Amino acid sequence: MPRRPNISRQTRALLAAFLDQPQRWRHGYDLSKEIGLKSGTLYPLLMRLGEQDLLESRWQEAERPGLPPRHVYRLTPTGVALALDHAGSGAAVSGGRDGAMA
Amino acid sequence: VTAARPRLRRLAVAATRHAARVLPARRAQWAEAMRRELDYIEDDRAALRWALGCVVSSYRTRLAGLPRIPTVVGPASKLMRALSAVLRWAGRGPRVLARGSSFLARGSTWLLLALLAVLVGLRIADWRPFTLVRDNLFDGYQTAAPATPGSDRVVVIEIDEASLAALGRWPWSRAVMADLTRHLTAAGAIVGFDMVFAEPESRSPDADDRFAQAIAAGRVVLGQAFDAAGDAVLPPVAPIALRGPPASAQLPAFGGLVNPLPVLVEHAAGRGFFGLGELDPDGVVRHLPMLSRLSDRALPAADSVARRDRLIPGLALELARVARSADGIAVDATPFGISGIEVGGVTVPTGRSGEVWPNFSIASPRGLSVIGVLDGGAAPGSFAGSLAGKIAIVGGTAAGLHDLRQTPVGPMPGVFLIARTLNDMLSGTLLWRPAWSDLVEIALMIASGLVVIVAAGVAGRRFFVTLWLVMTAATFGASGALYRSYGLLIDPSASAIATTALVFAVLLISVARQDRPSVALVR
Repeated sequence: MPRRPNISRQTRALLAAFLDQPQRWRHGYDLSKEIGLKSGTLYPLLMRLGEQDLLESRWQEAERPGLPPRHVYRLTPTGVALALDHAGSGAAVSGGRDGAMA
Repeated sequence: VTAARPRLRRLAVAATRHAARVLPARRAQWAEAMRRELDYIEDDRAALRWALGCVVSSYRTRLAGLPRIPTVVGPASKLMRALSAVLRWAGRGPRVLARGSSFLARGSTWLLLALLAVLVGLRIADWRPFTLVRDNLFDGYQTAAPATPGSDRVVVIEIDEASLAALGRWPWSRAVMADLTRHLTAAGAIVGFDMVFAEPESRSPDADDRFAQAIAAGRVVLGQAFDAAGDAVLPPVAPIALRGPPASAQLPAFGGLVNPLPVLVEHAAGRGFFGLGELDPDGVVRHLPMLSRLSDRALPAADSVARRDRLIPGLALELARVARSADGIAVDATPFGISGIEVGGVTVPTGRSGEVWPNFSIASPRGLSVIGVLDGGAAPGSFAGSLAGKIAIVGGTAAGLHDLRQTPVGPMPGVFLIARTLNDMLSGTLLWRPAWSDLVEIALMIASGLVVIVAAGVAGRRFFVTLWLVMTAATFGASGALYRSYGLLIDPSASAIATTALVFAVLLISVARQDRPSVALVR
């Protein structure tokens, strides 16, 4: 049986947050608040998921006038598959240690 | 709080701008993404926390790509080929080398080697920042733990305020010194004087003779002072032999000596200089010279002084010789310098220049007031009766005598420095900074620096930083253990400074390179 990729708790929590509504585009700050990750941990994770084609991103126009377009994210089908593979093992990590995908 | 809010917002904006500059150019859209989130965070404090996190994120991303670029060519390829052969032999080569970096390929190795060479050169030249860290580390070793009790073989007979109040201002008549010497001798003590009696007594012509008689009746070591315009050099009371390679040039040189009066010298058991030698740049006394030599250029009559007679013992060494009834002193030398001084069958470990390092973590010797000794006499049961077999060093401790010296544990009268040094010599508790310590420290510095440079080429980022931390902790731990177990002073800080500088250089080079287009980076 092939070994599952070794993924940090923070990454699992992030994947789980995306998996709640896989089609919904999410903002960085909202994700940060939802799973308790500081921006210093969240963005390196997002960048790595993006590099591995697990995450897609785009610029979304602001709903309120006067505000700039915002970067939004959601999982790619590959990312959803990975998230499903790890579903149930993720948890909110507020107050936990920083970590990264190994 | 209200006034501070715009400032917090401005700080947050500035932080995200900095984060954008730190991120590699190819991640510009991520920098913009982080920055724009700020506009959607209404609370200023939350915005600042977010922005600071973005700075952390940028640096983490920058450093993440550090050593992940393969191919080993370039000026240090021989080194890398040798390493790869070893790694292959160990069965780990392909895996490790697959993660090798571009440092060696792009000439960074030469840069790092040059940095290491400069640091080693500065260490060899005893550049002040290196010695500052070293001195403070050694001081810390001695002040970190509470003082431990030491031997009470040595006692200081203090010319203190109470004695000055009772006997009048300094200097006292030699008749007083004669009385003091007689009292101490009667109590069974060997007497040392941390002062020089150079001029005849003018107030009482027979006082010098009385003092000479008191000296003749006991075992007394007189002090000598350095002075370039001093008297003729008296040969040491006991011969000083040099064993091993020529090393006398390592000893501190003096231009001349101020000797005690001939009538006193005639009856003394020994003579020794009481100078503290060259102080460290911060004015702290950490070590004392045991021997000194007459400079070849010192006196017109220098040529007439036999070479063996140009060596003069320090007061502590001469007192140790007299206490052990030794006929001579032997100085052991190695190619690195002086290694030890044998007196009375016991070898005292020394530094390269024959200096010894008193152990300031041991409690100071006991002090007795001169006036107390004179009043108490040598009656059985009195405090003076406890001086039997002790070495009593007479010296000034009153504030007006201006003999306070700075030490790792605070100001201390010079006579107490000599007393604690002698105590450590007799009880074997001296610290030891061997002549070869410089060589070991420089070798350690070079070895650990090369390990960092090689690791920058082959190790992953986490392993690289972990290796640096482990090496630093290990060298400091080993140094502390050597101090605790053997009183050995080996400085790990030069090695730590070098590896830290190299690690930061590697990180800076890595960050700078991420701005350049690179096939390997894209990969």
